[in-house]
Amino acid sequence: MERNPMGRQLAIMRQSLFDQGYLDEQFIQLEELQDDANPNFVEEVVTLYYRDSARLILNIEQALERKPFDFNKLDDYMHQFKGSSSSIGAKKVKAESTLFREYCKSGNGEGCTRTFQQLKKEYATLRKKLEAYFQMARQAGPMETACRPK
Amino acid sequence: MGLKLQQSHHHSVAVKVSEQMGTKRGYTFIQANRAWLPKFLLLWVMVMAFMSTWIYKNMDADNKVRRKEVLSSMCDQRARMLQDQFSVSVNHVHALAVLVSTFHYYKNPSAIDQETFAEYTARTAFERPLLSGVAYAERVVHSEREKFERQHGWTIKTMQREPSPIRDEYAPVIFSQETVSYIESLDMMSGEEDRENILRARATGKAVLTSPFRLLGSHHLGVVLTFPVYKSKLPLRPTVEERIEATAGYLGGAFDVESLVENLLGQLAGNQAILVNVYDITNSSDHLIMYGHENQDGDLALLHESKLDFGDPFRKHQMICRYHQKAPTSWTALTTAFLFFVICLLVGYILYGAAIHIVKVEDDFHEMEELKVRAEAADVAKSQFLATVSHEIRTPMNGILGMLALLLDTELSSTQRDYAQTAQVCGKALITLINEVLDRAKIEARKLELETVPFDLRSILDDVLSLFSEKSRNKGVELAVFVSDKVPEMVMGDPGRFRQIITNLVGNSVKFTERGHIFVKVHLAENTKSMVDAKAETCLNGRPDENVLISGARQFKTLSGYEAADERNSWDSFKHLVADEELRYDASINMTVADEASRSVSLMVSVEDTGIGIPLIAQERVFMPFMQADSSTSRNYGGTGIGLSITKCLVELMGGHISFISRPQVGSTFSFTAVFGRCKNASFTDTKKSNAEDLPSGFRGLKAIVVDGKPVRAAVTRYHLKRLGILVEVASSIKIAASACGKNGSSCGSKIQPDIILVEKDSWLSGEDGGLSLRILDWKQNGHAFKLPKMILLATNITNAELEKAKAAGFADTMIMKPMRASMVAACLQQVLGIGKKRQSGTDMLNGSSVLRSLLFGKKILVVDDNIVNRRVAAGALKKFGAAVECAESGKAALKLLQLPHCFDACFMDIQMPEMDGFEATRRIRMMESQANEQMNGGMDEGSARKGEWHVPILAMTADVIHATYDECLKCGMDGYVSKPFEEENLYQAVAKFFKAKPISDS
Repeated sequence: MERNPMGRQLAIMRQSLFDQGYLDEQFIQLEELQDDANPNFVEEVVTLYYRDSARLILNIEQALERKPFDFNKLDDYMHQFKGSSSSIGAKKVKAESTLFREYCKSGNGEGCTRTFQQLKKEYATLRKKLEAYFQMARQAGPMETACRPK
Repeated sequence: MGLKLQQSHHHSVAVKVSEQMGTKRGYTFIQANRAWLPKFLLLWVMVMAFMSTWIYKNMDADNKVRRKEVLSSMCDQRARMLQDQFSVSVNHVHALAVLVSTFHYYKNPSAIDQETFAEYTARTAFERPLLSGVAYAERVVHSEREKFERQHGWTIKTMQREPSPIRDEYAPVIFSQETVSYIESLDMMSGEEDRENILRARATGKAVLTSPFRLLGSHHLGVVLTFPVYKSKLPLRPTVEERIEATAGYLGGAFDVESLVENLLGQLAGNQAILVNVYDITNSSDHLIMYGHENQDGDLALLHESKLDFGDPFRKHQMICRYHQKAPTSWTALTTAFLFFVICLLVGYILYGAAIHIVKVEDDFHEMEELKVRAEAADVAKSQFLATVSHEIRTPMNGILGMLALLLDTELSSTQRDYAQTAQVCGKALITLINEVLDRAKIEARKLELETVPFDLRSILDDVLSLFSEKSRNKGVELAVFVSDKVPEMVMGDPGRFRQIITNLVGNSVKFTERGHIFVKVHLAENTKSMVDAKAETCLNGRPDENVLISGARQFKTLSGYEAADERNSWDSFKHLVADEELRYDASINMTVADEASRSVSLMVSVEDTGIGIPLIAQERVFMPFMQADSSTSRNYGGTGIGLSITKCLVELMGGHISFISRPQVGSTFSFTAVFGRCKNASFTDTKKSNAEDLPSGFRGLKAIVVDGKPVRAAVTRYHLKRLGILVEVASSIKIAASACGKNGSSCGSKIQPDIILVEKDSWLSGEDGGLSLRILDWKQNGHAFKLPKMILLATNITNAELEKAKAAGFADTMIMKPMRASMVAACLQQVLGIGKKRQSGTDMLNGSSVLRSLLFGKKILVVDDNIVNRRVAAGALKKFGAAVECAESGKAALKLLQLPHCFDACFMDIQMPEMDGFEATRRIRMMESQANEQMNGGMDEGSARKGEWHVPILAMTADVIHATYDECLKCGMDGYVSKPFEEENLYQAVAKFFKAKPISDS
């Protein structure tokens, strides 16, 4: 790994994602699922995640515009969103959605709105970071994305 | 100003009190009126003072009344006596008057002259003690004066002893008593008082008295009594004129009242105490004193008047008595009142003091209560804090550990690897600690709840032992478990917590034991009692020498031969237990019937080790959190000492007790009891089925001989073999075993024909192997090879040299490394005997993911999840293990795919889905299946129906792994659950239940 500067940079970048708390071990699990049969499994899942969650975010945004809030509906949406997020190991986003659901349960509309803004921010940041990461991974070559050598 | 201040102060106190009353509850009357207490006291004192005064007054008044009564009675008595004596004297004078009239006037010549009169009166003077003397004066009218003077030879003189001037009449004294002879010839009419007296006396014909005056002879006060003497007999009702006409003279006497009364009083008791005055009150405005001093000191406040009647209606007399001294202060009344006051004062003060005390105590109590609440709150807060913080720490710690694991997978230099490994070990220790702290906090916060699910105690014990097998093997410590046959196979309880307890105790034992053995033993708690009784019996019979000398070393009849702290585990008592069980084995049907009746079963678990033991001083605080024997312990062995305290809590939660016996340098035995529920029959058979599949049943009916010199160890081996259904004989040495086999070999078929011979390494090494191997060679030559029993060596640890030697000696078949576990033994036996699939024997050796791969490979699995990302990830994970995955995005789609007949081997179902959630979908699938099954059952005969029964395993996928969810999963017909996102072990555990059984049932 050390011999490949690109690979090294990639590893540092990946580690920083964990260090800064964007990702958790679930992401590692995803990476473990990636093998020769599924060389781009992680990227595939992440892309799927962003495609799917964009719809959910839109739904939530619309629901938040309607007042009074339908907390049950919001909670439903957020449950889905949270499930997706935890599947890819998006730790910060997951934390925000957990908070959001708490607010939903207590019926705190203002908290919901605030948390949702924060959530969107985290969501966007992670997206940016992951896009950069995958781009670099593609450049580094498929071998390097499998970070756990067998 | 001062008053004002005072008032405001009072006011503030009152406000304070009312505030307190507002904030607190449970006030008593005293507490509520605390500000009034001093006022109450003051009021009390005042009332009591008033009352004592009243008492005093009352008593004093009584006294006064009595005093008055005494006075009046005394006074009356005196008056009466005086009156009586007076009247006696008056009567006498009357008699004298009669005498004079009789003898002076009716007799002619007169029988009385001065001499006789004087004599007579002198001799009868005792009759008239009150009279100083009597005299008789004749009535002489002026016309008869000269005749009279001539007759008597003296002229009539006045009181002033002068010849009397001329008057109408005269009353010269002619007879007189000697005591008053000086008044002879004096004209009584010349004295104002006498004259008046005489006039009144002859008018009334009765005795009359003068007012008191100073008597002539003495200076005493006195009165003069005058009695008329008539010449002729008077008519019956004489008029005044007639009386005057008939008057012949007057008899008079002087009463010396003063000496008279003095005399009289002198005769009576108590005359010192009272003062007597006698008054003439004829003139009501001017009382004339007859006796006593006019101005006398004495008790002026109290006096008594008694009327005196001296027989003269014209004159009125009165006696006034008073006390000499003022009424004495009544000490009785005073002391009574005073004492009453003092007592009441004291009582009041005591009450006040008590009230104050009550108030104080109550205040203190409230304060304490508040402090207690605060302390409890703090305790709860502490626990909550611990729980929260521990939880928060665990999350990053997982990251650290994960990263370290990843790091270790990369290419590292040996130093780096060493560092990383150290860090990982430390991290793991920290996680363990945090988990323990969390547990403890949970227990303290009463948040820990035990679940009650059926579980197999034996397999848990096996698992725990296998966990420590590596460590114990490295140390050369023998690790063994024995579960009594009477312990039910499945019990209801919390397997996780039970495992935790066992792990903790065994872990401790492993940590502190360097030689010897660690022995876990489980039996029914009631059995222990009989065992102890048996033990006591042997003690009574004289303690048998249980130490057997083998090769010069002191050997104990324990598992490994080392001495154990608690002798109950030595063979002497242990064999009682085993024998007991065998004895009851026949009656087991009855027993189980009886046992089924009771809903719960109390188990006694003991963990015995031959480690360093616990120092005596530290034994008391073994169960206190964060206490280790001493600080050096944690230095040498690590650990925090929280484990045992958690264990204790857990045991208590399970309704049992934990205790231990420990002897330093000998070992410790921890025993605990726990109460578990018995499985209900339905679930029992249900779970039993799966459990039985856990252990292969292919060994049933096999016969084995265990060669072991140590009976306890042999019993353990037998226990494990029995679980596999193997009949076991125990032989204490190879010789005996060989002879048994030998007999067999020589066609005597009555004895058992062993299929397996298990030889303990110690027994083999003790030099008798030669015989056996020779015998075996013998058999081989004799063509018994096809029936040759398999030889298996049992060992805790073995060196390469020994291994070689063993192989040479004929133990080529296999070797079972201790600790024994039923599943491992089964695997070995399978290998040796060639029964069952090889796959089975390999189970424990393979690592998780490859096992998963083997389990899931080629299986067709349906993943149902509405979330596309989750679906994709789950599918990916399952695909990785070789499964063919199909996805459905809703419950409805899943139902469609699972229409019978289908070819899915399993279904993973998300619970929370829109439209139709996982529970509902599962319910419908099960309904579908049961309908199909019924149809088939109707059409086909029993045997084939069983074969073709539809039941696709459905596993719930859920993020919250709480047990309520799990219960609901089971309720609606699911077979288990996996946490989401997938974890390898979790997935393995869940999947293994369904797929593991298949190869065996196939065989």
